[in-house]
Amino acid sequence: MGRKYLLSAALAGLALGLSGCLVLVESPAVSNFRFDSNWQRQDTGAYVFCSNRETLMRYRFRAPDSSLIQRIEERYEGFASGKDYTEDRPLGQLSREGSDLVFVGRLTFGQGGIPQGQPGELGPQSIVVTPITPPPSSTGRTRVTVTVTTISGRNYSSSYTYEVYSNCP
Amino acid sequence: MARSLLVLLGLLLSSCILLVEEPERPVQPVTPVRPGLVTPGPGSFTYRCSGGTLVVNYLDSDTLRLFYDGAFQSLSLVRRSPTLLFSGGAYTWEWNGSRGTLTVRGQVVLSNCGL
Repeated sequence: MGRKYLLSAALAGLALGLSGCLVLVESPAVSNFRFDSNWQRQDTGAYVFCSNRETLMRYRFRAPDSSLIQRIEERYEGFASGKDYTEDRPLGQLSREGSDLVFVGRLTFGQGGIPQGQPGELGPQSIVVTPITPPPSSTGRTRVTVTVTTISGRNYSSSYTYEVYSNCP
Repeated sequence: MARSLLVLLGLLLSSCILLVEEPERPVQPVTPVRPGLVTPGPGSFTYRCSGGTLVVNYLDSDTLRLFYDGAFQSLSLVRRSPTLLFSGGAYTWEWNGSRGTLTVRGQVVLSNCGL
């Protein structure tokens, strides 16, 4: 009787322990956000926006299962203007590249300018990074925050701040 | 007969009156007063210029701040006519009612700025 009780207790403990392990090793549905653009400062390696040249912005994140994603929200905070813009990005405007989902948008500058993504127009390979030595004419700063909400309601978020330059060479 | 003479005299006199009428005084030319331009805003505007974008925040009719060289630059109104001219430190912002120009240390850096 005693042995049977001990065995049951050990099995129960093992089950509990394993279930705990399973929870611990569960990988997040979304991770590893990365941001860049087609303009990169040579001295610091920072990606920047050039308001006098065609500028593309790209972000990607690891999301092996797209079906787990309910919503992608982009927020643009203009440091100089003090204005914010928030926009939902349709999942269909992101491309799959291995385990990553990738968005590439062409920036429009001016009042209310936000990246415009045309489905099928721009892909992950559309960006060719050009190193630049920016002139001393930083005319703004834009903080981009991407928040991905899964169907379970969990939010994954990351930000990047782009310096905005005019008179890029 | 006498009556006819009187009428003729009356007509002649009336003509004389017309003849001696004072000539019109020449109109003094008036220089039109051109009203000064109204400062845009208040508020923040992002202009698209030849050379890129520029954010100008009009604080009131006499002061603004713009973002250039990685920092906010404060400028004050210098004149209102024929164009609005703001100046501060090395920076000058000129607005003609539809287009603006930013000058830094005497060099035009952003021109043809519009909304």
